[in-house]
Amino acid sequence: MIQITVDDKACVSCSLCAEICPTDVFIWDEAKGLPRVDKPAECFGCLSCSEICPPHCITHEGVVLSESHYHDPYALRLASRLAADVGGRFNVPGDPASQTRAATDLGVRLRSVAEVFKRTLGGSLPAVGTMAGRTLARHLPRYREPRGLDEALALAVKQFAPAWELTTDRKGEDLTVDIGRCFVRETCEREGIELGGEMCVLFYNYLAGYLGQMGRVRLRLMEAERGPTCRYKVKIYEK
Amino acid sequence: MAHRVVVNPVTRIEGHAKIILEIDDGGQLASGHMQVLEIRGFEKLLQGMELAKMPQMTARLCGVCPAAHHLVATAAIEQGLGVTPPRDAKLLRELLYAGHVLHSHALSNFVLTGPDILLGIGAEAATRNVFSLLAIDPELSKTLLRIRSVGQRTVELVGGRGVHPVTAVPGGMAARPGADKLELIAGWGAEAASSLEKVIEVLKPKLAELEPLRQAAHLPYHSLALSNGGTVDLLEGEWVVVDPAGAEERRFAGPDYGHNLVEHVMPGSYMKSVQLKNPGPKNFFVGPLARLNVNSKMRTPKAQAYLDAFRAAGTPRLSAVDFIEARLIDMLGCAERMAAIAGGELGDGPVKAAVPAIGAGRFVGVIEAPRGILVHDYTTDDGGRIADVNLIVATQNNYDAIDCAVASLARHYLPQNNDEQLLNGVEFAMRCFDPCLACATHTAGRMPLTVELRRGGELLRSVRRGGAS
Amino acid sequence: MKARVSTDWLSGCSGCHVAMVDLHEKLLGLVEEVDFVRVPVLMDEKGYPKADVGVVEGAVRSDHDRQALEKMRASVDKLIAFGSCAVYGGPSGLGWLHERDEVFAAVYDGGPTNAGGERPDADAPTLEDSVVPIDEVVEVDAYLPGCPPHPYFIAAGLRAVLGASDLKLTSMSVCADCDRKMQKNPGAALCRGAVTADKDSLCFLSQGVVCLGSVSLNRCQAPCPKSGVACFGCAGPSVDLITEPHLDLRNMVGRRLNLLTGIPVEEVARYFEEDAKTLYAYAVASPVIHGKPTVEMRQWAGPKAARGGE
Repeated sequence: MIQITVDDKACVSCSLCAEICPTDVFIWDEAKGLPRVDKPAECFGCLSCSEICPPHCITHEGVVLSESHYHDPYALRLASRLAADVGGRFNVPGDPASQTRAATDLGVRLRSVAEVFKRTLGGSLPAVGTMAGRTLARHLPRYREPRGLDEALALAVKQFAPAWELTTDRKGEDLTVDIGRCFVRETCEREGIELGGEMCVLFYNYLAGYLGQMGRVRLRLMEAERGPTCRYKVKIYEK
Repeated sequence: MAHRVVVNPVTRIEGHAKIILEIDDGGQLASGHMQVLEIRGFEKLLQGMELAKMPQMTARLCGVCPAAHHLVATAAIEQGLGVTPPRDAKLLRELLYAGHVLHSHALSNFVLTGPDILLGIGAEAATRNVFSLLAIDPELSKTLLRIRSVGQRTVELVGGRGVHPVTAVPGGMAARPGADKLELIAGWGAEAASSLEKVIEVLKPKLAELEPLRQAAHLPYHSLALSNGGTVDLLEGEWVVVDPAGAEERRFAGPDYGHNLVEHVMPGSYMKSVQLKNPGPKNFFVGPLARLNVNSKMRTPKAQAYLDAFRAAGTPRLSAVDFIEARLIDMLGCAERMAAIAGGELGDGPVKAAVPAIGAGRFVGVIEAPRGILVHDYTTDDGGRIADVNLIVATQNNYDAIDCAVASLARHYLPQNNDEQLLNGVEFAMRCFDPCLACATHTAGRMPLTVELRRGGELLRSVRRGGAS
Repeated sequence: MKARVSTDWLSGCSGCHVAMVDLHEKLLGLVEEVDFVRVPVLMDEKGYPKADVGVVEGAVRSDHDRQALEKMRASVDKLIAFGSCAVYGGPSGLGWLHERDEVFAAVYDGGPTNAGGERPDADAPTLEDSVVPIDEVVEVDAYLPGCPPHPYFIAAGLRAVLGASDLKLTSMSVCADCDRKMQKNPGAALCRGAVTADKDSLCFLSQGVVCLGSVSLNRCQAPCPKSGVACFGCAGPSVDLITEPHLDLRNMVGRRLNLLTGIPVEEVARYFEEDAKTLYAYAVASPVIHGKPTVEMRQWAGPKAARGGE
């Protein structure tokens, strides 16, 4: 069960926690001007109460936040070196078995999406991949605004690391990207799909769109080689 | 081609700076110049901000004299709105400020310059700091630190916080301290006043030992200070200029400063210097010494007695070293005012007057910061946001005077052929003015010391504290 | 063996160093516990002697700052970013919004007293393109924001880095130490630009005054709201705003104001965007604020502010 603690000394008697809780865990003690944890078993760890709490004095034990794609490592590091009570709130992603299970699940969905795109869009598939990559670049939290393509490349290598092992090599306006471990290739192997199909096309362009948007340049995919390590070559145009 | 001696960084001042001495082929000093190495650019940073929040925001210009910026920004808004705060609010501000000046001057005279005065310019570098003073004369040191401490605590009790106080708002004060706090402050004021009288006696012989330096650091400049009918008043008054012979040169009202002052960029430095214009250019200095040269009256009896004695030795006093004594008189006056205001002068009237909304306009505030005249000048748009800012701070006003003193003391020490003494001697010249470079460039600092002898840009010799390299 | 402490001061106001002196008598206790080997404002040591702990105030504005910071990092085992400028850029970090030449023009041209057209020559240290918090240059082991941090937290921070854990640095906000009662007050109107409120015992938000207490880390013990002045967030954002990309000053203050008074969240958000330069002043240069997908800081505070507010 989740343990909820309220620091009475810090409480400012706003009663917003009791008001906002979707499962009525708290009752409001009017006389003391304090919340009382009434039905702790009803708490499912949505953390609405601690999010709204002005002094930040409600803590939950037994709720672990996953260090997700959206939790920027820089911000987490800063937070954990800012206050002594931050460290335990975030954990690393689950064990390898559950990671593989999640990857398989995602792979099947991705494959069906890719198939539908190909059937309905045909030759527009690369454009869709590029667009998706650009959109991601615009929405992913960037705690470091990359200054130019080189920084964007370094950032992408880090951000894609959980699923793709990327190595980049830039010579002037020629960029070579080697893809070692690849989530798409693993999915294709598992599903018996030939490399170079719609999944690959989507992903190459997705990556190019992402890098271009981050580095504020236009990238054009020139050629791609497939194998144990895929390699693709890109031309860079300054915007 | 001239040689250059570079002192970098200058330590025990409130900011980042280095000193360059140009030496001609004959080995004689050609010039001395301080360079200020930082800039934050508050004139730009403040543009677009809400004017109403300047008292709290501009305190951040400087951690040593935040109360000065806090109060001058408030005064500027009130000047533009045509608002006068109630009597008790004015007294609370004066109380806050008295505590602040006590802290600021104590920091300068004891913590920063104290080692020079008490241990001598020639003392070993490793021992020239407040920690050594604590070890050598714990009782005196603790008294000195205590004086600073009660000043700063007064700021905290009246201003809400010690560094970067917050309670002055357009129209008055956001809070008044309770009776218990006022009683504390009144006690501190009395204690500090009596400690200061003793400290002044202890320092007298030490200051007498500095007589050769006092002679050397002659400052043939005009004195510029606020004057409230001939009385030293840190928060209100007219600008008055007294020439080196002691005659009044001009007087003008706060917002007319633009007609009388001009700022120039100095070589290698982010800090601007200021001269008098119309007529001009004329060099001047500001600060505790200028206040005592321009005014003949203090508001409190003990400080008045010391001022009379100070002026009896001839006025205007024109040496950088005289700043140290002037600061002590300033402090004594502030301690006495703390005791008087908190001990009964403060009534129980309102501390905040109603203020109209801030729209487009010009808002000019002028006060005496601990180091001298400070100007905040804002122009706003219809929404009450800042379109333009002009800031002139005390240390900028003293820039030319600092260069003059640096050159004078360098000339004094150069023939002695002792690098260590030369270095600390010229740094001491700067420290006399208590330059606050955080304010001056609207920044602050640190840095390793190197002394360079250069000929035509070519490095001849480099001396570092703690061994040659 | 006493722990050796070395301090330095970059682009900032020196207030954090003064705050250290404001440990008052406790400073003397600290002097007995630790050995200050370098304090530029107090001592004549101009090198970077080896130390256990380095304490750095101020942001990085010039190449001069950068070099000093690197030397400091190399000379110490643990480095503390001391004060809001070092941690988030602080007020110095407002320079992040402006080009170097814009800053020079505002400082050296125009106004009633500038001779005009003059610029510092090449002998002055080169200003970097922008202002950055110190962790953009070196690794930081502990962050102690505050403008300045209250001496209690300075002692706590130093002791924590030295291995003692008797004083807690929690992630609670300024509200935790505020005496005011936060109560519902339907119908209160948004008071733009206000720093004070009529009632002394009632929360500023309840009175429609924008107080940043609930979105600011408590490293101060709430002296401003206790003295009648709304919090302006000088210690930077609270921890939840740092870790969660979707949380921001304007939407969290907006939600709380809305629940207490009924003022629409959008109205609050609009005020924050229009006066972003004032309301976000202390952490503009930090990527945890300007890097948020929900924040368009340069658009809100940069060009508009550069034109003097339109």
